[in-house]
Amino acid sequence: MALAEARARHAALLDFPLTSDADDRSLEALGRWLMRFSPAVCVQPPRSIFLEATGMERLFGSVKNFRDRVTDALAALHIIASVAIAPTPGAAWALAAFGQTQWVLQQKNEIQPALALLPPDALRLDEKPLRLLASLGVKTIAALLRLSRKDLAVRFGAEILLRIDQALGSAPEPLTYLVHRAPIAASLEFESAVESLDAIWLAVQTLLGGIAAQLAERGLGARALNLTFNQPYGLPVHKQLQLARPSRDEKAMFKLLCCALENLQAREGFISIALAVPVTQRLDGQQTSLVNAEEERDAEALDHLIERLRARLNDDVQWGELVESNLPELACRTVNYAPAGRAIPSALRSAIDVLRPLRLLPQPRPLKVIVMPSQSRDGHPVSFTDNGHVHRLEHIRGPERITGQWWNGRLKIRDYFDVLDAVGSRYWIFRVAQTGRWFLHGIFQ
Amino acid sequence: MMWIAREKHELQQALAQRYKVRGSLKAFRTGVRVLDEAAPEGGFQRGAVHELLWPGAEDVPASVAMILAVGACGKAGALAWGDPRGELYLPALTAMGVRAERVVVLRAGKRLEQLWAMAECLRCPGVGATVGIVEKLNQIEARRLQLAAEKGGGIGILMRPHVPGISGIYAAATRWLVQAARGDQQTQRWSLQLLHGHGGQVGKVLLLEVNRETRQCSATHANVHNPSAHPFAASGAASRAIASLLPVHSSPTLGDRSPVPAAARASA
Repeated sequence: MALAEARARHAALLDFPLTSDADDRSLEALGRWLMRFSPAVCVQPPRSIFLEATGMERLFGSVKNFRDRVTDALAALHIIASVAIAPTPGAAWALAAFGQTQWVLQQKNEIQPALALLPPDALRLDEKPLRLLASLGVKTIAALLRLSRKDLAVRFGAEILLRIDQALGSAPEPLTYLVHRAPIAASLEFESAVESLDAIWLAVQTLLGGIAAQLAERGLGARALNLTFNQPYGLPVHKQLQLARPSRDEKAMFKLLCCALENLQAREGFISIALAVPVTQRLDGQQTSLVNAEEERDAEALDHLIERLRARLNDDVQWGELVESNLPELACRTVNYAPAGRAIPSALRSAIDVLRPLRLLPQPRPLKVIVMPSQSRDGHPVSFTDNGHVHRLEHIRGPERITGQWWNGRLKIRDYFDVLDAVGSRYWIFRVAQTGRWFLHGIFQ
Repeated sequence: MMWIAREKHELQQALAQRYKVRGSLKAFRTGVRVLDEAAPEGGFQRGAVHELLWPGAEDVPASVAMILAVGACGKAGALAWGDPRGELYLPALTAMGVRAERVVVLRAGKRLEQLWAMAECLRCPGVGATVGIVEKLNQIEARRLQLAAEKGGGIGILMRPHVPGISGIYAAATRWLVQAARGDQQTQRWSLQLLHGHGGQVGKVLLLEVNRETRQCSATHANVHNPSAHPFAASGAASRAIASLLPVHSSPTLGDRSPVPAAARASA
């Protein structure tokens, strides 16, 4: 059914584009979350997760308890899932996929009766053999098992036999489990509170050494560092660092931490220090290029500069970015990270052709303006007074009319004038068309 | 083998060209002939701090700083701009050819942090020019900025209010006095005077103008003896400032930095 047809039938239909990649990622995230129940978790997109239950009855009292705990936990997350437990992955999948969750199978000989009434679809077969089975009138697994294995192999290929054996437990089914990822962290506890900053720096260096080794082992680089200093009585001191590019270079990270912790105060001393890497990124061996080496080095130096600046000044260091907007004050903004090589929006190119002042006041300043002809709502400015200084205007250019964003409820219309005073300073002033009030907005000087 | 040999030859040529270009990048040209001629050795030195002084009563000559910075940044270098009040308007920079994505805005409000950030930017080879307004500067800070610029190879442009005594301390390669000059509908003008700079045309006043339509910069020599053309004639404070600098002009062979602040203090 086409989407339009479905919409025509149900007006309240919600539709979303299929995002298989994102779905697979969330399924893996759910699998990692389920590692709290079992250390061995296998994720099989599009919609299956297998948990190894061997030995779990000791931890949860019984296998049934284990299944119930998983079911409850998923329900608490508002995830609709059907959970079944069986001696083989194939049988568990069959029970879960067809909602037969009342079964708790423990022995291999219980599998066959439990699966007997399920359709052959429960054996994870391809579409082609399934269609053939349906046309032959084989509607249940029990009926399928009554057929001779030799005939099945001839008619459907070896795959169907493998699936049957896997479900019943006579053939092994190896699962690929998720690799357990311990968070990259290191911590150090002192015997008593340490006040000496030198000792603390030494400790931080030791921690960084440990973290660099962990990162190198996994081929990762840190994108962020979390440093926590625990005080004996006061609250812990936290410091988070963002790195512009992944790094596992001990010295560079230490320099960065020195920048960030320049005003660290240890009045009562610290009893422990913990360093964690919350964000990592793959960092492979770096290739140096022969001709553009200098440019690359410059770019790297720039990234390190931004890291150092941000370590100490936090959000006081920003990158510029142009935004498409007709209001001059909204046409640019600053962002925390450099947008990588983004092209200027097309409409902005024309906006740049119009002369704009280099300094734009964040808050337009009210002005007293003498207009020619006087009292006119659309006259031209002759002079203006700003902070007690009278500026006689020699040349004016304008008005350039900029309408407000009426769709956002900002109805004020501004008429901008580009004015040059007798001294040679150039200003950008505007009049609000509705009220006739004047403001200084920019300075070209 | 032929193929490899040709590749190698091309590579060597590319490297040689690169090396040559890099070598001549000690000084950059703004493209304005008269302005470049006035600067020491026919161009603005890289790896140095250049100061723009402005009479405190007027507005900051940010556009002149921008013209110099754009010349220094070229196509690749980043531009760091100290802007504690959040007044810098990026589309104006983009119009002059600096992509907004190449601009690092330093918003630090505290003086010491701003100076530290500027020194860090100057020390970085990826930053082509660092621009900032500095109201007060002591000898050590001035020297630190100059050393940072020497290490990084970019240029620093400090905009400082011209107040005798306060602006007397500097370690810059050149200092310019910048004032707004009368322009007209099409052009915006500034008068620039080199106050200090070894080998430059110290004391000479020139007029820098930007054509607002074509965005072309050009400069002419201003005639000091013609009061109508002289941009400082109207302002008493400014003409005193020039008078105080005349000793430097008459004895450029001294080559010492001390006469400028001394003369400035004497006139004050």
